[in-house]
Amino acid sequence: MSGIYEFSEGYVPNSATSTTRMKNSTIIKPIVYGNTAKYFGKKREEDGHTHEWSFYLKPYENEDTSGYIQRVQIKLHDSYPNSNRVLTKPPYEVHETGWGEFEITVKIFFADPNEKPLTIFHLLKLFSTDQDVIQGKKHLVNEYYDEIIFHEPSQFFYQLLTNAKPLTNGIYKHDTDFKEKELQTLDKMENARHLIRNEINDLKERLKMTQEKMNLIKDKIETDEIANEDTI
Amino acid sequence: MNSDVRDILEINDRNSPKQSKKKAKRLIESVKRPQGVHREVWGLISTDDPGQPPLIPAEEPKLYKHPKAKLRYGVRKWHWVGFKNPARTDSATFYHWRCVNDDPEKEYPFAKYNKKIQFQTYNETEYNQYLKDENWSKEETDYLFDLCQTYDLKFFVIHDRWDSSLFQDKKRTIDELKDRYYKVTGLLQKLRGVDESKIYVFDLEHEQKRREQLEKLFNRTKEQVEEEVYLVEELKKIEVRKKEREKKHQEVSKLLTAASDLDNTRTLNNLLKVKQLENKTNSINNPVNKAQKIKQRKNSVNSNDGSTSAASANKPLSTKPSTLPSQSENLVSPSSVSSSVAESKSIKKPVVFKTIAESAGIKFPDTKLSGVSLRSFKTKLPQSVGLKKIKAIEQLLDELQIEHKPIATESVCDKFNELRSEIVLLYELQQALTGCEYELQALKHRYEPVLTAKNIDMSLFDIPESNSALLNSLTSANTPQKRISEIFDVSITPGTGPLERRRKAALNQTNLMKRLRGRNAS
Repeated sequence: MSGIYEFSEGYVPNSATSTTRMKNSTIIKPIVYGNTAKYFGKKREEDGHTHEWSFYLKPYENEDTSGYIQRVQIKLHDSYPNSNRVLTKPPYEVHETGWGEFEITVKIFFADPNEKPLTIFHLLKLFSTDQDVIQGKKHLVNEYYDEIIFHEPSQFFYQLLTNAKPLTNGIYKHDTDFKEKELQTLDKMENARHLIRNEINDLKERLKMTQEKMNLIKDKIETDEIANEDTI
Repeated sequence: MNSDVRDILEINDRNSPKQSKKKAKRLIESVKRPQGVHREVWGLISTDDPGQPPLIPAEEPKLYKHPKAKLRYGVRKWHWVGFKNPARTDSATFYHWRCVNDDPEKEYPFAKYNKKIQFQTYNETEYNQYLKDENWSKEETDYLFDLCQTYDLKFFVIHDRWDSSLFQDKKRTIDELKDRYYKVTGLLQKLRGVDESKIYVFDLEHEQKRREQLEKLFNRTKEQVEEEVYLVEELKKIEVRKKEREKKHQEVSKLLTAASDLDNTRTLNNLLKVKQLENKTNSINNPVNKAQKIKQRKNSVNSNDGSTSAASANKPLSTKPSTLPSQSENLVSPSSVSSSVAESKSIKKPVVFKTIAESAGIKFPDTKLSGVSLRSFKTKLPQSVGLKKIKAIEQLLDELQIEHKPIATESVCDKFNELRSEIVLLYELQQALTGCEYELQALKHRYEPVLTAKNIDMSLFDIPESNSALLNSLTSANTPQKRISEIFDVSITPGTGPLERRRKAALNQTNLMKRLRGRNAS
């Protein structure tokens, strides 16, 4: 791999726009990343691979990320040939076969060379308890929603970020309904918080009562001792 | 020859690279041997390079040796003369060496060191007037003063020399002698007009007690000394434990305030959020719907409060189960708003939300990193959260069926952090409660006999059981209902550290082995 990469087209290092930051501006780019996996049905003879899987990273919105992402480095397990896969254009995907789960390290390099690359860790999931998946009839999907936060980007980068064009004209959707998932998660969390709050209050009451009782005993003992001293 | 010597001694030659060149020049630059010096001697002394230090040390300058003392006046004459010591009473003549130049009339220099104590004397009339005492006769007092003068107020000697047979064998302690002497002297001094403040007062009682104590201290047996040391150590340990207990109490009270703050700020936050959402103009889907939702939320807050001014700090702490569904329902609405906002630009986070996470539980690092970061970084636990707490959080999240790494939108992240902070608070409260209960039990056991003797009802001090709503939704119908807080494995009673647990585990294992062997044998 050569150490020198070409910058994405359109980025012209201009001292004014590349160094001054847009104060108090934050741009959020939500992304979806994850992997699908499918069991062959049998163990392949030559290398013992049992699943075919693909790892992908794509924006949540239907947009062309090559405007602001310069390249994506996907590091696989060392047992894979060419374990460092570099992709400069979307779709950022890796299709492979294998037999075991491992951690994939993804490094996203941005069009602005002053920004540090972003590292994401993802555990490749192949096995599941679902019967259909075990038998090889259904794909296993394990994807995550996350958001890249660009805080105070430089002026030029800001332009690149805000002027991303849509990628496809067709339907653009993900395997999991993230909106739904978000609502569910929030719901669950609220419930959990209520339960916990109740617990906290309960414990607080008990704690107070216990402390009161302790003080009560201590007072009784003190008065006792004073009484004893008086009698003696 | 010099170079040979140097080789033997392995002295490194500074100018070794130049040696070859020097060889050529040697004949020109070397000093010729003077005639008086023998060839061998000259071979030892001379060097090619006079800069190098000589092998034979030259005479050292006299500066480094001890210089001879230079006397100012040279030799003086001394005479063997006789002298008189004015300090002596008998004017005997002694002889010693004296320098001629010394002043012959100078007093013997050591005479001035013969200091004498000023004694007060009294006569008959004075004695009869002022100094009469029941315990002391005049003869005794006179004898005492005589001895004092003879022995220079050295009371130990005086006491030893005190002849009790003169006075009907009346035994006198040192303190008594001292007391009598100082009393008399003090009175006489006062009479003579000496400044009151300069009179030495002898406190007999104090001295006697002090002497007694010293005797006791001196006569302690070895066991007593050891016992004392042991007791002192125990005292230190008790003090330390007391301090720890007080610290724990403080922490407990902090937790309590945190718990009550939690509830207070919650409703405050709701109102703040309401106001902020009202002020927002962008990315709101349905203003009418929202207004309805806000009204609903306000109402629920008010009903929860029981008062019209929801911003008051002193509100009742009860959260009745009946209000739960309505509240949770209403609080979903801001999340739906925020999820739509996630698609566009960012929202300004309400500042007050932070305070919940910060007051107790976990404090998340809230530095907004300039540059690029991932939303899920927000949910990273700071390093200060210990392993036990992390385990407890994970355990509870499993029970509540929440993912360890939830979907990373802004509102979810915030809520997740708050939730975890509250979990930690719960955990800490549970720990504190266990500690308190333990202390209460200890107190009870200690004072049970005393209090039952006084017919005080011991049931007053029973550890309070909880009657709060049990969490049915958590566990299935088959398993017994248990509280979340009991899920935590909180064991802080002294005597259950990791060592204790291992010991217990080992014991259990040996017991098990014994049982198995017994079974196999039979």
